[in-house]
Amino acid sequence: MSKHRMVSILASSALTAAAVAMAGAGLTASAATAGQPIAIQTGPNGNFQDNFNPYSSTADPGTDGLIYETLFYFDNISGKTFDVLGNSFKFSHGNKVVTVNLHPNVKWSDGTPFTAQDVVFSFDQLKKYPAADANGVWTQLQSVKAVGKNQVVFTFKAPNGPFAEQYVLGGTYIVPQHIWKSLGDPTKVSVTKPVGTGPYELSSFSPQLYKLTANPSYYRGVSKVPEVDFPAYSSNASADLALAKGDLQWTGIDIPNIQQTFVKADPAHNHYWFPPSNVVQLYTNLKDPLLSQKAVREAMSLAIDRNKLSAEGETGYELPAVPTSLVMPNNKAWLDPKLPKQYNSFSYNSTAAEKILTQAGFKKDSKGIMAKGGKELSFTLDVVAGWSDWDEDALLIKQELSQIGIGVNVNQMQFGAYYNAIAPAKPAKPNYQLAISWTNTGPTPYTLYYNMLDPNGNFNVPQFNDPSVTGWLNDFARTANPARQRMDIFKIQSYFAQNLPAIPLLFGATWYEYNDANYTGWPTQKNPWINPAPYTYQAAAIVLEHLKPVK
Amino acid sequence: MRYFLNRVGFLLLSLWAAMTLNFVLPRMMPGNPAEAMMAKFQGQLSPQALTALEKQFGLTNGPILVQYFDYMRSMLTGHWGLSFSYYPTKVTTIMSTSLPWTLGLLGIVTLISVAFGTLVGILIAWKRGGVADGIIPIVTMFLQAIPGFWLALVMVYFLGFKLGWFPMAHSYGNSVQVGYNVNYLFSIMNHGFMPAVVVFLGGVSGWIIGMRNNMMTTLGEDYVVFAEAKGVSKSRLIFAYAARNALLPQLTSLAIALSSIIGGQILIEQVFSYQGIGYQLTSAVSNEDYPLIQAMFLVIAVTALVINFIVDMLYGRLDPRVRRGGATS
Repeated sequence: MSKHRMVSILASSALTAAAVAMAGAGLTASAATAGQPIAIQTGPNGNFQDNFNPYSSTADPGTDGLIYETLFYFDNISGKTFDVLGNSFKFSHGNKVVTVNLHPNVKWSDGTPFTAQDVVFSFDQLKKYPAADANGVWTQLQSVKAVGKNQVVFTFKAPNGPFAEQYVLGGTYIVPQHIWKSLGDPTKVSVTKPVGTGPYELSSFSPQLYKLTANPSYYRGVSKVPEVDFPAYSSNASADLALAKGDLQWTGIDIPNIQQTFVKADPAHNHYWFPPSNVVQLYTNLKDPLLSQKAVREAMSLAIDRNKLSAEGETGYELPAVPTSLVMPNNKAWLDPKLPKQYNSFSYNSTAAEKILTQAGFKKDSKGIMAKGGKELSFTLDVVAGWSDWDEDALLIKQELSQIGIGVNVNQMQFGAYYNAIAPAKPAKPNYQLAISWTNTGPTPYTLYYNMLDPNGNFNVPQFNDPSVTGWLNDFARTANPARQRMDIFKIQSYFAQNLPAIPLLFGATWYEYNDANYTGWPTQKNPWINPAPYTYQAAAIVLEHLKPVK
Repeated sequence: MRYFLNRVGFLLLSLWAAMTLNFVLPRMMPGNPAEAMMAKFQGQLSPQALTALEKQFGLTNGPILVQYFDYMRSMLTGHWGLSFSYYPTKVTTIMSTSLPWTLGLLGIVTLISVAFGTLVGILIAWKRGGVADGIIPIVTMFLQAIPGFWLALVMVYFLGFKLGWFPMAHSYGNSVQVGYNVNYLFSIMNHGFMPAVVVFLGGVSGWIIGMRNNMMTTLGEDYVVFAEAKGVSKSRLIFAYAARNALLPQLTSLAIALSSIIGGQILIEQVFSYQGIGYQLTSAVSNEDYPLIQAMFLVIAVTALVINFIVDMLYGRLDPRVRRGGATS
């Protein structure tokens, strides 16, 4: 799920449950008119604080993407690259140098021309104030230089194409030098009158509603949606009702029983689509002497009924994952066409699972638990208390594994403790046995594999380390040859499916509901041209630029 | 005077204890605010961000005593710092935009339900055994037993969503001009009505029944019977003789009710997306936002202690026995 899981505080699951129970209403769509505002809800947020600072990870929704922009946007669902402030980029010098051509004649919303100097300044800020460098770009960058007004040259310490794309070109927001040069530490500034290059400008603010209006001189054409509203809702339940009533047009929330509560209210115009965003894994700590045995992981994977997890744990919104841990269908271009069939989907067979364990020398002991040499297959499974779908999944896994003689003790934890157990700040090591968690994804499968499987990866929850996999990952990062990159991914995916360094469970969902009474051009399952979630702000800006009023 | 000093000393001591607990408890939570933030973003934030966040928040591993004295100094001087979960917004800014709404709504509703409940309690106690005495306590107790957030959901769904009589969310209409004008005031009342009704129904029963029972006791006292025999007028008998003494325990309850206001009706505020402090309070706790948690709990603790102090003082005035330390004659 997304960050909206946060909602689970206290009884919000009870709230939504009650809302569902009372749902279902016959409402008529508002009359289609051009120039209507679009009201967006990205997840429960309580009162807004007046802060539109792109260096703040908790800036108000829309700060990133709608007001401030990056050079490019690399979409994780379509795999496409979108030009934003940049018009083109080229790798050279063995992938160590990236040259970016900027879009000419861009202006800041205060009228000052935007130049390559602004880009250089924005990167220098991150160097000067490491607290602002959330992506750690200066761990990889050597220098950033402007060439004339419209060209920027990035030089890296070592070639790393995926990093350059995702974090430098696609993840760093550009701010106006003439304003920020006198503000000091950018992380400590509350920005209430943002000046950006993006398609929208802030027009009014109150803690319960702020409005953005279309930038009248936007360089890629003025958006046809003249106004975007962000009203505050403090629970999913109240946002659900507002959506069904037509007070919201575009949301990214997990709505139980969505057909009844939302679609039925206006079947012609109310739509949703929950494309996969990442792979939810059952992580196994590979430093554990039992879990490091492939047979144990294989048996566990075979004994878990993923369809049941999907249907009962996730109300059918999240589908079973695949053995390669690719995010399907987003990554279908990276799937090896020659991959053996059994690696395309998981099967469920508890008898076969039990057989694998007996063949590996495990026997049921007096407690009915599989054991070898006095060591029982009995583990603790960490999940976050209150993330109700995962809590349910964990209980189902416990039931299923107990059938083949693997004991599971579900440990629901407060999420600070949980995160500290599975991904503590280095140099501390993860301290858990089993855990359900997400994966970090990006425009290519490299992001997921690198973060989970590289010893330097940032989400190496399993503590995996295999020189051959590291070699393929390094090769992918260094080469500029797409065919070779594909080969690298092919090797890793088949390795993953064979060895299961983690046990893929389900595809985590992207939440997306919309009403198309006033505008058309929304991303749909049939036309998945971009990540549709309003909380993926860079994509949201591009969606808004592409919407057209209904005539 | 001795009683007063005694109470002031107690106030200061408990303030210090509250502030110290306030420092210790959040830090006993597992993990740290930067990790909580990472969890909130679930992989959408680059894993590198953890280091950056720790730097931003200035999470140091300095000696705990130094941290403690820094904390005490900044709390006492009003430098409550920047919130982590709304970084870099000032804690005071967050509180000033949300606290007045909670105080306004709940404060007014509490006072109304105390006044209403006490009055009804007095009257049904006087007519004890009557029809009203049979019905009102049962009906209000039934309403009180309904969970507040559920009642709130039902009201939002039927009165807001289905019938459209009342707005479903927010504390005032988004089209009205904020300021001292009739429309704004009306809009606030319109938006506050449903939450107010829920809070009122959730609390009024206690006041009615509490007062009724106090009245029963005082009405049986010899001096009331004597006054009645003496021919004191009915209203004077009820209010000046019986109710006045029966009010004392209500005062204690009022102190408790007022001091719990800031804690707010978190779930009710969430259902109505009311601009109060409820959401901020829960999100501060789950995000391990130390500065915001500390500031909010400081305000809650100080309010509770100060109100208790005031009530202690009032008690001293109203009931001389308290002042003299329990001597009855």
